[in-house]
Amino acid sequence: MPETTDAEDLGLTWPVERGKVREFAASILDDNADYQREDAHIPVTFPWTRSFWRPAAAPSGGGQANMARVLHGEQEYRYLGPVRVGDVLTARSRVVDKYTKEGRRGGALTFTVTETTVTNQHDEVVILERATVIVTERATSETNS
Amino acid sequence: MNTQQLRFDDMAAGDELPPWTAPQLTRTMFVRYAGASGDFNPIHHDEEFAKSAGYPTVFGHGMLTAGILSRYVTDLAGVGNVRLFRVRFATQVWPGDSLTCSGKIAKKYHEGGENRVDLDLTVINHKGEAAIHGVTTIAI
Repeated sequence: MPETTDAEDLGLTWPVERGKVREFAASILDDNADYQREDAHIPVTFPWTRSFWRPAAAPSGGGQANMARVLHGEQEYRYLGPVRVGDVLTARSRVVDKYTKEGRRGGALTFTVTETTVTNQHDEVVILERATVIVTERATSETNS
Repeated sequence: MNTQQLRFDDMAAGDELPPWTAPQLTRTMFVRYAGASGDFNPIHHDEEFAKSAGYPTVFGHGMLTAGILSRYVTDLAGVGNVRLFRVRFATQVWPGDSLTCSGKIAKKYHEGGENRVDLDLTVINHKGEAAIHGVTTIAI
């Protein structure tokens, strides 16, 4: 999980860049030639890269001390329209749920569910994203969750 | 593989799609994904940090595995034809793991002016453990 969660994004705007799409496609081992096009569609999980566009001073969601205990639970993308290189996207996020469960081997697990609406430069909603992040009391090799 | 043509008329609920095994995971892949995604949690690239946190070594980003699975889906459906993609992370992936993506047709229907197919997805490691359970909706 990245250092930041989406909880603080009240309106993050970022451009879909051609080189970034190529780089990201390669990083997920995808050699599909469609990602080399000037007007390429984005890979499905590409919206994840918007963290690059957060202000440098944005809150870091707890900093490195927590990083060992942050787990990604679930991630969902709904595409309502096409997203291509050249588009300019804006993400608005809010926390929709937060709850605590007991882990299988003891230790509390705190779940935070964040929903993000992504609009394009025409104010069309193109992506609905939902993320569940889990913070464990100890390293997950011990809790096995 | 890369974009084999699925034919809507030939598909039926319960059909299993050909699985795809990704290249064996390496630490270099984790570093490359960190750079491309911006996710620099040191647990994914810093051996000392991972060990001090109680792990045997670094492990892959969940979103790297999700991305590999999304490649399996776009190879089936074509880039730009994914309407829904949802994953639940089940276990961590490690250097040396060999991940196999597979899909099974859950439902086919007409919606939004197009033919759509729901698939149940899994990513299994070489020990047979599920790394991801997922679902997707693709337009055919």
